[in-house]
Amino acid sequence: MKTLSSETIQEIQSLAAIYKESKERLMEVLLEMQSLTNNSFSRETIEVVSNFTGIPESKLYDYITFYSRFSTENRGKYIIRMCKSAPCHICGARDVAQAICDFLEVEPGDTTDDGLFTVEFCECIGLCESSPSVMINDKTYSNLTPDKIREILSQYQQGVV
Amino acid sequence: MVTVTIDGQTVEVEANATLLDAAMAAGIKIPTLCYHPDQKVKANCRICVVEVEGLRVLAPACSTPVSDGMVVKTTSKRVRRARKNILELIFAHHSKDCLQCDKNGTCELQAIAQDLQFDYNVRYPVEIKGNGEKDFSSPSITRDVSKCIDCNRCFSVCNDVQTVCALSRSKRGYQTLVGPAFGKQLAETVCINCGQCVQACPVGALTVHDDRDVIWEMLDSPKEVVAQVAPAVRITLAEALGEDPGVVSTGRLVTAMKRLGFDRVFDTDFSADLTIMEEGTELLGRLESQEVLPMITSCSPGWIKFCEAFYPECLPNLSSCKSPQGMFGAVIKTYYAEKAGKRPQDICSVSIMPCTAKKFEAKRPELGRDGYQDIDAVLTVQELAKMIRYAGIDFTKLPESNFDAPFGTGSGAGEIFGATGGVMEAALRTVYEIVTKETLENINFKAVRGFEGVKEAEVKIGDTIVKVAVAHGLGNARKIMEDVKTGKSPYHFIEIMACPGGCIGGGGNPIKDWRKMAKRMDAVYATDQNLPIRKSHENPIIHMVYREFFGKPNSHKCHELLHTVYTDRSDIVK
Amino acid sequence: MMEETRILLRNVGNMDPVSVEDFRANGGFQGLENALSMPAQEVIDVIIASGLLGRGGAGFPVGLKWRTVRDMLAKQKFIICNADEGEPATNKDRILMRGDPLSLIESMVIAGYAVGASQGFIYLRAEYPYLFPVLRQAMENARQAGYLGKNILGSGVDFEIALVSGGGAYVCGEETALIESIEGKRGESRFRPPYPGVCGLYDCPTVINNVETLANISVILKEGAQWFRSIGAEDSPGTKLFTLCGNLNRRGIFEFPMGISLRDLIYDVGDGVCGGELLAVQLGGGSGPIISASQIDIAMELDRIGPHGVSWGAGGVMVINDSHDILDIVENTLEFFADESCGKCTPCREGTIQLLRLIRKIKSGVGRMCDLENLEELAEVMMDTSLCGLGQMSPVPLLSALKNFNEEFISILEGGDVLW
Repeated sequence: MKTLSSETIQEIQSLAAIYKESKERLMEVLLEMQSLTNNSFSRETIEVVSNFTGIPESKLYDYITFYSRFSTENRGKYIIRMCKSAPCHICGARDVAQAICDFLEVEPGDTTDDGLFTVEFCECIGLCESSPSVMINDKTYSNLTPDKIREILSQYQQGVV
Repeated sequence: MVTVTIDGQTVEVEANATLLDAAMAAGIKIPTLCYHPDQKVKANCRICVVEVEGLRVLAPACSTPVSDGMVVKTTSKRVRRARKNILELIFAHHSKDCLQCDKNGTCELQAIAQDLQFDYNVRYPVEIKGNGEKDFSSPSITRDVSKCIDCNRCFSVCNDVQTVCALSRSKRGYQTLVGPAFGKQLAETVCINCGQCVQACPVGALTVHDDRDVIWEMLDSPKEVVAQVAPAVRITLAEALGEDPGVVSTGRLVTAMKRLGFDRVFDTDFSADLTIMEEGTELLGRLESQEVLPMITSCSPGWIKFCEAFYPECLPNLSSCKSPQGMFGAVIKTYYAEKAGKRPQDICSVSIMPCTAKKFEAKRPELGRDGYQDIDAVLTVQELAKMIRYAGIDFTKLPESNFDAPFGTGSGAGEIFGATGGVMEAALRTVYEIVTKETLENINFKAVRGFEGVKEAEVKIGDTIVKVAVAHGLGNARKIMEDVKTGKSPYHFIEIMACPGGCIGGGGNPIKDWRKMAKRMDAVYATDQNLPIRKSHENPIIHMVYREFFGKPNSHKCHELLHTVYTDRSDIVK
Repeated sequence: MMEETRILLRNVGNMDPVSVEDFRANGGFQGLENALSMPAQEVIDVIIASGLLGRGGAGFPVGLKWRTVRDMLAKQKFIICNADEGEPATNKDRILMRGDPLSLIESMVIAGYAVGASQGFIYLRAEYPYLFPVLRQAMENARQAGYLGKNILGSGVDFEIALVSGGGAYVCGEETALIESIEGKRGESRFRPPYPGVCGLYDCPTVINNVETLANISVILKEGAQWFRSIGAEDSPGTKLFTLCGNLNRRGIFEFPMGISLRDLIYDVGDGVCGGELLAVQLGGGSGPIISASQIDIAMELDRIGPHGVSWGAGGVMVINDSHDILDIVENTLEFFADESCGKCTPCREGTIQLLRLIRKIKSGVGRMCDLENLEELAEVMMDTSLCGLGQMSPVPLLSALKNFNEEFISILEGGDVLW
């Protein structure tokens, strides 16, 4: 079953070329590739990436499953990363996380039915002085309360962000 | 040289030695798990930690370099506490069904637990790894995650030494799992069945696929059980049964197999000689026509699958000859069956091999015809040793017997197939004499012997200089194959063996390290030296089979029975 | 609030962070110019004389690290800036990189010149995606102005910087794991020796310093070693960036000379505890000790060894009010390390999860007194045998809490309805 479009495959190919030029950009290139493919690396995607980069599939798998930014399960358009490390934890992160899950009607780790959001717990995102914080893709949200995050999420749902 | 004091003993060691080396010099054995003498130091299991005066933390002996005046304790209270806790941590997820484990008695973890008076009392919640299912998908290797201790020795040999990369790892931390990517079964991966991971595994997580029961059934059946025994088996069988590495047990091996009930025990040295006749003739043809050079040997089924997967464009370079096992299988089911007045279906053809990949090879559809396979089952040295133990045969006290006629005679050239460079040397001995029609004065081609990863030589045969190369271990093979792939290879003839050291280092042998390997290799060449016939074309049985059955080398019949074709498997590499 | 000594933060918030002109107007690149005007060996002498200690946590003298690399004979050497600021309760490097990236670049060029390296890397954690464009732009501007690239300021010195992304792994803040990650592998720590100064990135001698450490370099070269020594404490000169977080009325990143008291940080700078009374403070970050309210009269100095032999150089100050249960905090830190262990060595891979399981057992009220002993023994063995700092330091919060809040653990065990 092939699910990658030819445009995506082409983009993966040109990203692979960047990696071949400078090897230390592997992470950056893979993160970029992942954002093109349901925010995840399926078996099929890894096969394609392996073809273009020349890195054996098993080595890609070894690498990808180590770093928490990657996933091998399909994820939503927006990944909500809810920090659970101590500085957030002691400032109400649990309530915020609960509010997010209730609002979107999902459990941590799940993707909403509309494919818009994936909700994940994560470790420290480096916004401790304004905790509790979450990241939605590359955007940061700090000093959160359940009300605040609900408002932010509905903006995403309405496509305002 | 530096001086180190270990447990009160002072030893002098090289300045680049580790604490493990120093302890060994002092006659002290420090327990190790992730350490393997043939691999890069990993220092991840931490069972070898020792107390070094002046250091804040305990030091792993395997990776800590010595320094002058170091004072080390290996059994202090602190060290004992650390070792006990580390064993507990391992056993908190390691299945303890030692009694049913293939490695019971040979397991490194079990031995350490015993030496360290471990009481198997784990003070933390126990959660055995994996879902309890074993992976039996591969005909060569069985994988049992519940035994894995994450030492990474298999990963290292599969990725760094063999560069096959069938084994991956998933996740990190306590969720780390060594195994094929995406939780695939071994048979779904690019695994080439070499079994080097089995050789590397200190526990029972990776073991040889066990075919003993199939053999016992065959021995019970009314069918004639005909066995062939590979050259390397006589070198390593005694070692597998507890004798010193390098003890050659050809005669006792035959006796033991007869006592187990094998009807005929033949010598694969014979078909190694047959291989030389066929392959040598093929090489001469290619040299003459200058077509598809270099020619590459095809004796090693691990290498063949590797070539099919990673270098499909080089398949025409492979000799079309079947391996000695394959040739012998065909001979047994055709020529021998005819001679014995039996239908091929009424003969059980069994191979005793040092090799786990031979189990895969035997199942290739090319190695059979009319609905039967030429080889019905393959036993490794490890399995044969276990059968001998099962039967209560005291191997040390056995009288010697000869291999059965007619295929009981092989040359020294066939004998050296067991070591890296052996096929090359055997071929050169024959090709030289066929071409020049002169007697080869010095038949020992020392340039292609030894453990050097890639060996090369130039041999003047008649008017031509023949350039040859020998590689063992697939990482070394890659070094040569890149040039072959791009047509830049300077060689005429290349020998490649999948396993480091050749067949004596095969995955089905007793567990090896380089010290044992050196003794095995010495034994191979000593055996060759003492044989009356040392060139394949001088083996009288070879002359007989060509006269009675095959006609001449590379004849139509030879092509039909002794040669094969290969399959592009690059689709599984990805 | 006490007045800060803004040396590292001098430019933060009062200039366009990526503007070379603004930066120069504020005295930027003078350190580099000074450095290039002296022999490379002298630059190292200045750093040694300054007494600068690494700000990453271990507090190793920076000049000595550099000298090792300088003395190595090698075709290729590297400078790595560790910007994988993963330690919970420390966000200072984020502020420095966002507010003054050029100063970091300047410092890296100086380091490259000093040790003879022509290539640098900034390993930036994936959790700071918004900093990638900032650093890229700053590097581009510096390159345009001749402060980066070939023949810097006509001196014949070449230095280039590549920006490398992290992938969401705390362990990559550990220097050897970071090196592995740049090499395109899993971030698994290497055993030492050999140290990166001898055998680092691609097996070449490598200087690896964190962002805050490097940020000090340009200003030391500009103002001199003596000036630097005049700030802070005798054995621990200079200023320190503190991340004040948790249950405080005023949170943020603040810069003070070494030696400031913790009490002042909490009650003056942090404007006191919110949401309750002070229960505990975790110092230095997620792997730092947890101390009780009665222990806050201490001076924050880098070389001063804190409780349990731990230096808390990363400068995190996480204040916990008494609405929290100390076991809950400990559980949280243990969960962090179980999530973030790389999995390479046995004690850390298995120990982090077993500590977590044991503390959960105790917390849920079914623990036994012997679990406490087992917890402590395992924690000590992990510190004794783990391969890298992650495993060695991960039990610190637990062990310090066991010591400083022993009654809380005992009372839970005694309160449980379990026979023991």
